[in-house]
Amino acid sequence: MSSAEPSTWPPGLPPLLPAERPGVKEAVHVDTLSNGVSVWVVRRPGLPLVSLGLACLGGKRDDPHALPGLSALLAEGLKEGSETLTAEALHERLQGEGAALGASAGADGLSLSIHGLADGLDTFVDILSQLVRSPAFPEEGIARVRALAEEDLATQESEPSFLAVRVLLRALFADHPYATVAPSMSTISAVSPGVLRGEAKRRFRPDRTAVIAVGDVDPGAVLKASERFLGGWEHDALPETPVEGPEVGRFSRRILAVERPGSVQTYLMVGNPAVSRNHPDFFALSLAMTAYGGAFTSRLVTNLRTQKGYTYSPGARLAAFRYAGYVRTVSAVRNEVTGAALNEIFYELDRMGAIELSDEELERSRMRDVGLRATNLQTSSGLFSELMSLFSSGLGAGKLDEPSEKLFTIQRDEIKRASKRHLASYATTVVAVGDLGVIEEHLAPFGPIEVAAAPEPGFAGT
Amino acid sequence: MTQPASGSPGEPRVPAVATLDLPALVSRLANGLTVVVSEDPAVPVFGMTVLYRVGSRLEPRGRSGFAHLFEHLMFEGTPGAPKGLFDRICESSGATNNGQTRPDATVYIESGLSSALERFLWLEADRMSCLSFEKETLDIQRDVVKEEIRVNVQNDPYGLFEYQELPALLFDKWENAHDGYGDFADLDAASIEDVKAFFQTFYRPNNAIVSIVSDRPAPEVIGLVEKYFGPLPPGILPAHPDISEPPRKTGAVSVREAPLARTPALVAGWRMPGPQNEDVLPLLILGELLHEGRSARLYKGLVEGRQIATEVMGGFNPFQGLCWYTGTTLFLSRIAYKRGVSHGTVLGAFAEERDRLLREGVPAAELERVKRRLFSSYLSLLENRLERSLELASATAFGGTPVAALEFPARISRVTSAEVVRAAEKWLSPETWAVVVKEPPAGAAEEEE
Repeated sequence: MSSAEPSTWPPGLPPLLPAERPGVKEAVHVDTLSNGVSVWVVRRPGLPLVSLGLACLGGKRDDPHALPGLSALLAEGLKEGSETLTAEALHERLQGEGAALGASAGADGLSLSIHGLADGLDTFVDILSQLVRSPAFPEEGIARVRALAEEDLATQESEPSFLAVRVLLRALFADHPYATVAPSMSTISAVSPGVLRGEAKRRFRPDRTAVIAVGDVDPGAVLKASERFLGGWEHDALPETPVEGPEVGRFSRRILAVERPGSVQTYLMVGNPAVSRNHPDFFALSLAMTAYGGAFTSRLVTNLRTQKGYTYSPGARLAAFRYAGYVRTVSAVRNEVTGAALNEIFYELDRMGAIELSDEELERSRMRDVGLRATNLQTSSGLFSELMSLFSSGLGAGKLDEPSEKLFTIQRDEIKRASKRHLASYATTVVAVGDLGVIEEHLAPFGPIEVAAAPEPGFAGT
Repeated sequence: MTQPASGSPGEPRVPAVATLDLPALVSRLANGLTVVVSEDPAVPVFGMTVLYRVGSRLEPRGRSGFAHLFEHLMFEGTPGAPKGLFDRICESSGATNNGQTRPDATVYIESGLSSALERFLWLEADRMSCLSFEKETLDIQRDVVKEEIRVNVQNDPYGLFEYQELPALLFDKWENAHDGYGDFADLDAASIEDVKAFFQTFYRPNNAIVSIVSDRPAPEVIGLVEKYFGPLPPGILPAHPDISEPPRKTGAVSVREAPLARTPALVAGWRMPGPQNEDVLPLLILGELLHEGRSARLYKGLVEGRQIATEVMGGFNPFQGLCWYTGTTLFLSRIAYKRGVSHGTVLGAFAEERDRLLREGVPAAELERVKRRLFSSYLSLLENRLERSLELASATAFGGTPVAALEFPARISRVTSAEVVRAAEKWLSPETWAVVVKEPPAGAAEEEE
């Protein structure tokens, strides 16, 4: 697995043992119920735990245009119980099985997940099936969800990372639902039990749902429980409404500033539109991002942190959805090095498209990603998350090992080409959150500064 | 692997009463290094912790933040593996690493493909042997640490106040009360001589525990630890100061403006007894019962019932886990609440919930559910090899043996409702709390419509 190691390494350092290429060794048991519900199970004997969830296609992308961020409120609303199980009873039953319910909305899917003791299997499938088939959305519970969402939005707006990503995604994806980070005030105000009931009926359908389980459970038992609780789920076969990806045209550099008076740091977020999860460049660009800013020994972290001490936790990543994606670089730097840091970010972005990775960089980036993947997939919950995300991206369980395989076949020229296409500094959108009176002079040399409006369109606050 | 007692449906089920059946061999080298090895063949992944029994509480006076700054320097090169190599070798070998400075320990953790395990033993032994001690590296890491403080504290709406501000109000002794991140003047004062002295005093094999979980045979792993760490000389360890503190005699509430915040939050904290105290396990259960999940007392009472709070979190010994600490620790309750609600209302509601618990007790069914949840969460933690190595190392450092971790579920299962109530009465009184309140500037806290 390892090629020749650098000659600069310490004499006496023990060699890597020969290792077989790691990957997921366990089989994913794949079945489909007669109504179209997919069932994916991986048995992991050992600790008596299970991670079990429902992955439902239809996340933010399916939100009505007038109600951006509705999915997140739908997910929260589902936690308020079913027609036959109050929220209180539901959460106590789960607690009694050592479990808790999670519900979240992603770009392309909505997921319900339970991590608990394996002997709660039937209870878990029962509860999840009730939530998608007959959610309660009680008046009082939904009023509370609304009130908490309002407070949550205000709290998030005090965080620079939230302010930055909200402005960046709006700039990259315009009015496409992928641009929405959190429900706006107008969406929160508009949510009612009736709205949520309509959304649940529209979105949750057997042929767009998967039961996914990983843990100390028998695949046959999961299938049986799925048949029992979800087998009778019928739904009018409405055609799936195709929602296109965002139109991404040519970009030129923009500097967007967000005022946050009293900040002692500038929060920089630098982004470019990039590729979807299914794009041919996806794996090359993923590996490029590791070498550029994802790994601790990447070019960006070495430059900004190790060599210059400008920042504590710089980083970069590719976020790839089903129909679009973007890359972003993030760094919180002290005010006076705002311009210097931005300069280095541009330099490193362009260097990725100009100069191929060295042998050592390529091997290091590959091994880092291979190891990280093996580490993440060692737990039931880690493998579970990976399967949930595959389903939401519209990919089959058979794709589980694809990343491990691709990591060893991607070549340096592919990485350089993908970088040139997607990391060019002239096409970046820079978002700087900070005390503008202090940092404006550091940003000015990079281009005209547009002061971004703080509230979302439709935001009803001050 | 464990023996969760089963029962017919409807009957209350006790969580596992047996000790967890996970292997954990412990041995001690001639130089005093303690080695813990857990062999688990399921996947070719290792998790490893090197724990040094020194944290921010033992850093020198006038050098607040030093233990943490020192932790950064452990990654910055040795005579044998110069600056930059540690992380490059790590990532090239399919592993990730980190370090964490806690009040009573500093831990260095690695996890990745087990084909690389032996070279991490080499790397950890190498940096236990000697560091580069370069002035330029110290200066750069001083800047990096300041950026860490800016991002996590100064630029954060609440300034990590449960960790930064609460201890200063709650405790009297410098070891417990001072800021573990450090103030900038103290960081600036740190010299290479300080770095050398700290290393030579505390970073010795007889002050360390190496804990490894991997698929490699345990005797082989112990042999490798002996090979690389065996030659290191032991040191003379200073006596551990008495850092215990009796409960406060009075309550204290400090209201502070949080200029960057838009919604208010408060944290209440109490001084806790030493780790051997009989109330420790009941207090752990109490932390879960009050804070964790939708069925927790404070969630139901303050978020759902009174609808004054938005989020509750907290518990016993939150910064180090379970009962892994020395002398004293804190119990805290962090409550984010709605704009327009006063902190007095929130604190009053907390006191009412405690009163109700003292008056009505904890129903058997509720206690049972809370224990099942604690049990399940602990198993999930141990499933991750890195977390398991850290837990076994902490149990060995603060409980004397890794078995202290494996026995935890059984000990939890024996705690009674009366013991939980007694712990709440004795240790969580509003008369002995210290409370820090963070309020947004006037105007920002107004309800927006």
